[in-house]
Amino acid sequence: LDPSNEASVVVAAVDTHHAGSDIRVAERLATWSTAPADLGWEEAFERVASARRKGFDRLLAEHREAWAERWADAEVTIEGHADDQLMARLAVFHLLAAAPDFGDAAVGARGLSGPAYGGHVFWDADVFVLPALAAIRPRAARAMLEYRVRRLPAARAAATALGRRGARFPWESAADGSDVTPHGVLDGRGRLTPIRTGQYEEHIVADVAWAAFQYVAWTADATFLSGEGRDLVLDTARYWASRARHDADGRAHIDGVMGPDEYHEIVNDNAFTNGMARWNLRAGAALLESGGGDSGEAATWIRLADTIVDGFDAELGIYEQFDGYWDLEPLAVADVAEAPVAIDMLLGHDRVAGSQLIKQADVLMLHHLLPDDMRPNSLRPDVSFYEPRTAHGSSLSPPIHASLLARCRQPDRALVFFRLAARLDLEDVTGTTAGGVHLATMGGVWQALAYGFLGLRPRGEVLDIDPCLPRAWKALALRFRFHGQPITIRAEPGSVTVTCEVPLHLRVQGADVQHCEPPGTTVKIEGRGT
Amino acid sequence: MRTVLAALDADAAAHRVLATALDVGQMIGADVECIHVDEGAAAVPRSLATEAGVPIGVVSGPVEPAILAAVKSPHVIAAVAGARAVSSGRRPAGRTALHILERVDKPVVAVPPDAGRRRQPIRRLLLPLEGSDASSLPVVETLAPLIVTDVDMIVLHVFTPATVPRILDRPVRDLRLWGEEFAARYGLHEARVHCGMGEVGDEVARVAAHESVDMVVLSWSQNASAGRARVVRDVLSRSVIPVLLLPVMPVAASS
Repeated sequence: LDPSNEASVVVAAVDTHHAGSDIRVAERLATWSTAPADLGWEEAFERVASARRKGFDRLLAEHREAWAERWADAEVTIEGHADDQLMARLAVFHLLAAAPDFGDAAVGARGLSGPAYGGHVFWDADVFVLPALAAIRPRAARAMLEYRVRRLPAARAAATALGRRGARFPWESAADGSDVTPHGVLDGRGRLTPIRTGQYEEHIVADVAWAAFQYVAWTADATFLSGEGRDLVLDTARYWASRARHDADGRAHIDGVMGPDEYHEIVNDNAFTNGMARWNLRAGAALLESGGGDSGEAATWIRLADTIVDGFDAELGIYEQFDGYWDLEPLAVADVAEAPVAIDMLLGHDRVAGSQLIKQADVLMLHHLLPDDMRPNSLRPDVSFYEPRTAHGSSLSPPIHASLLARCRQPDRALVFFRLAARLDLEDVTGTTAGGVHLATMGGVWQALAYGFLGLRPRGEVLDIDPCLPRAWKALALRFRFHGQPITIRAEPGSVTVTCEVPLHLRVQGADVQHCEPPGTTVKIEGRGT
Repeated sequence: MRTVLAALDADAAAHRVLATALDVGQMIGADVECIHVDEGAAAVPRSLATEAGVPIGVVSGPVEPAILAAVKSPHVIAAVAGARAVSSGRRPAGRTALHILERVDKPVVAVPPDAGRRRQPIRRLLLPLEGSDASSLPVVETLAPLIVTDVDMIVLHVFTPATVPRILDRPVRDLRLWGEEFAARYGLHEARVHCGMGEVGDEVARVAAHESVDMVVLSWSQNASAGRARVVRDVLSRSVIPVLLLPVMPVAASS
């Protein structure tokens, strides 16, 4: 019980029955978070007493009913490979269990399944978990956003402390919203290994705003952005406006950051960070103008967004991950080991930092989050260049590659990454699952199915569908909610079937938008979508 | 009755062997007895044993069979012997010591010539583990139940290029998680874990010095022939503290 801020309350009743040599233990818990002033112990005790009165059978029935209600909007079907379906459902199960439907949901990197990282909330929650929940459990996604909204004052204070404007969300967040990233950890040699993510991995600021828009894209809950979420988006945009630096040529730069690829710790003009900041500024400007805000400030943000360097190398047709990346030792992972591998352990930190080897999707992560903001036809060249250099030393990397390779019409290669991500905890690939399941990877698994293999994208009123199935699968179907309504998309070789309860606007494989009336429609597609 | 048998010869190593045997006896709650194979210089070991208040048996005949026969006694649960006479060179142990180590189906402590001569309670053990049941079971099933004093166990796991973790999201913190899980899986829940990369011998020496370790514990298959037991040979040849060797599988003393 933390009297200084919020309290987690657990009330338990334990009944023990002895029957011969058998001992039956029944434990009932009531748990929730609340402010100390609202703490109602009588209510807590009543909840536990109520559970006792109901008895085991009724509680079990209620439990099953609650899970059935959750699965009704989240069903995953993979025909042709039972193990793939099992692994995908495991991911969905943990996602559904990760966040409540109300209050503010702090979703730690391992959810509630283990103690690793002390339950700290990373970008894992905003970028990997939330988009999945926005589609399969919108109320939980809203509770996750509420967690960020309630910590906006702390983010503002953090920005002010650095001499910036707006709000700077912390890389690792806990109860009060201050940065709880450790500054260092003692390694096996008793030396302090500095942890610089808290100081430099600033893209979290834009990630939080991006998550808010993902929620709205899936749910059409525009009241969030006109209400509680408005300041969250505006203050994150405001942060970037005070963070960027203009050079003599009028181009804007963001110096001294760390992108998702943490092998290169402090770099200038990280393509991912700059790309996310640019999007944040434009999204903030649009919101500011739509709400009758300061049009001068909005115009400033748009001008800044237009001048932020994005790292695109027109000659090569690909993005440079950060300023100076081309000059690094051109190593590929296959030159050293077989991916995935914690290649920094093999080669040492300095060698890796001086090479083009990267930990996880970085430029490619931008393709995943902001496909419409990227230069035309840059996805395939970027995947071709960066994938061989990616060690996948982060569990966040494989599902994103699965999604992107499916979009690149390489579904069988995508399936390799999908399976690596999906079995990560089932087979304890990392050796750390005892600390809890890798919830962000599980969110990535769902995203690979939705954004990658089914090619789903909510774009305003229209749901884009562009399936691309691996040969091992006979069909893939996802059930989710789009703009508040349940919908099922089922893709199989030669067709995609949409089942809906209200009229929908669809765009299949980039063709013209079509109207879909309940109970749905089947659209022919080319082959497996490849 | 539980006894630690100290095999004393007539040179300076006898001091170290006896001191180590007394320390080991204290750690596992056992009495200490000495044995000396008389080759015409029994006065020194007799004097040492008497001074320490420890019984000594002086026997005659070939050294190896005599010691092996003594260790075979049911009440002897562990033995202590000098590893070799001189500290220089890369030989892991003298010929006699090596033969004894290979043939005794009980824990044997090899005391290097650089070990201290003074008694010192054993408070910290270093357990290099490769990550197999074969190497961890002797620690969990043979050694751990014997210990009666407060001893801090430090597990050391050294990754090779083939075993390096595939994924480390937050490297230092994940390695700690990995280590806790590694130790737990091999039944050493309370142990602290060090993870390293490189040569095992180098890492053993480094961690032993850094952590002020009193004794290194290694499980082995009791085959020190060429190409086998590389880690044991390396650690024995370089260690400046006693090395406790635990047989992975019991073997007949006379085999």
